[in-house]
Amino acid sequence: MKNVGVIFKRTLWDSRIGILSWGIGLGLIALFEFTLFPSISEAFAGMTELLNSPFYKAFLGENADAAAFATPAGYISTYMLAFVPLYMAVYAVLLGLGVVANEEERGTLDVLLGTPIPRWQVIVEKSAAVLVILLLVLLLNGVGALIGVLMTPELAEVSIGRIIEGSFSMLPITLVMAAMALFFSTLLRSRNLAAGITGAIIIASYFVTNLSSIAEEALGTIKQFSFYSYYSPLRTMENGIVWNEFLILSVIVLALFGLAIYAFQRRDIAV
Amino acid sequence: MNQSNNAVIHIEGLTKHYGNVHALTDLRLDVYRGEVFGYLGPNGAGKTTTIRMLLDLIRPTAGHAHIFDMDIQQDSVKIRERLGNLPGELSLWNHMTGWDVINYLGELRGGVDKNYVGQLADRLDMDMSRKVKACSSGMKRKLGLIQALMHKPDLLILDEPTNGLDPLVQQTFYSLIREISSEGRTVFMSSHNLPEVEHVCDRVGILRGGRLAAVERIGDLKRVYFRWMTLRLDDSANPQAFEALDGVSDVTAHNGTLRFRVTGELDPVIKLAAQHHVIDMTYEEPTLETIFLEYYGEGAS
Repeated sequence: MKNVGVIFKRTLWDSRIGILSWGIGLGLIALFEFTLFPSISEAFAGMTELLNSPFYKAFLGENADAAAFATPAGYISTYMLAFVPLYMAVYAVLLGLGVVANEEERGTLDVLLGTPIPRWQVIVEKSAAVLVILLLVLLLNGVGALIGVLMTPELAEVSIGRIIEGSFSMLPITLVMAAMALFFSTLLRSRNLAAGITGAIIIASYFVTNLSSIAEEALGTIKQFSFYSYYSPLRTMENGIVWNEFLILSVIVLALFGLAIYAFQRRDIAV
Repeated sequence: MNQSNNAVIHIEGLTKHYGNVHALTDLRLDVYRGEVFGYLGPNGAGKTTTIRMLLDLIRPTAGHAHIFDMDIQQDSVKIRERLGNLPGELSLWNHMTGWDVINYLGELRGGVDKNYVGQLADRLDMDMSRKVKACSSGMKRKLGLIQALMHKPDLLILDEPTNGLDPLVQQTFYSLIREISSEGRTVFMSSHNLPEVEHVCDRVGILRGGRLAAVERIGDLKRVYFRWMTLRLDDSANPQAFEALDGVSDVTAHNGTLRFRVTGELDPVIKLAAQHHVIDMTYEEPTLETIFLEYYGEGAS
């Protein structure tokens, strides 16, 4: 095939400003937060009661532990690994919608599909570009985190390898968010509806997983269906990447990706 | 020559229904090699639905179609290698320049002859260095035409190609279409403009309410093409003299103003009017819908 890689390269090139702004922005936040570790950990050290309240549990889950929060691993996992995927959710959903929905709503998909490329190739090449884009943004975020750790002697016990593992461990969960947006946009043919449903699922999953640490009985079963339950930043910072969770999230991504291609191959392209 | 063997587009019973909305019903049509086929119909008649089905952008509810003897769904990619397409509601990538668009789409076609693109841009007077977002709708249309023509396709499918083009560029477009046809390539173009298809097409299909109501050779269509003319004269012209002219009918006269219907050439009317002092002359093109109703009647729908 003469045209392999053309859409992939074009998508990456068109995303260059997004990659730099999101990557550098998140990297600077990580750098800023890590250099503040000494003062923030001290302030939170005496807040055991507050952090154990349901409100904080709902937001921080396993990280809402004053003792853990005061440790370098706990602090980094909270700021870098628990919050960054939430920030990244916005970009990941936008990227997922960019695979098909944006071009379809703008009408450029009619021109693109007027060329001799199969529909599945559009999804595959654009999704491959999304994978690389997210990887690059997480890499830039990791660079910021690394500089922050190197500038903060109190975080010296955290190895460079752990920071790299921590950055890489965020890839599958952000890919799940992008793949959900892609799937719903191919299924529903509405950019706004797909964005709304994906956003609702991300928020619900985040809170179900975090609240299940204080309401195990009520949410124990539902938690298993929440993709956030397969992402453990604290354990990653303590013991390295949790590979079985990494694998589960990767399978979810592949399943959503496969379903998106299936739906897109069969349906009408909107005018 | 056996025409069915020569059909570039062969459509059999193509149907598209959206619930109770019958966008297209049981379309049967052949378009032959080297032909310029006009696909006429008022807005909402089903023209774009047909084109989007031929391009495999939407799937038929029933029926099937072949282009170059290949199935429009199974062999869509192979068909599109030999096909150029201009969508009716053309959208291009706003952040790209004209050349960026051509390079991108050209790469997806495995390369493009940039000299030929340059020639097309010159003929259509298109500034290819301008970004799409800075282009007027007419310029975007020209860029759309260039991308449809750039790989010298065997079949061009054009949805309302001259929408937004100024009259000079329209003439260039008509020349391009004639050249393409003379090379044995085929053009299938939709329009709601009867004079336009009369100008460039060999045959026309008239679509109404989602059904193909008639297929006519362009010479036959001329017999149904009429316009209304109103003449204001400073003396009392004789309405009977106008009524006696070939192709003139339905003459009414009121206070020196004559109104009548003309079919065919205008020359006899102009010559007769020139014998009087003409204060004003107006000329009304009937809509396609009016012509259709006049000649095919309500029952045809």
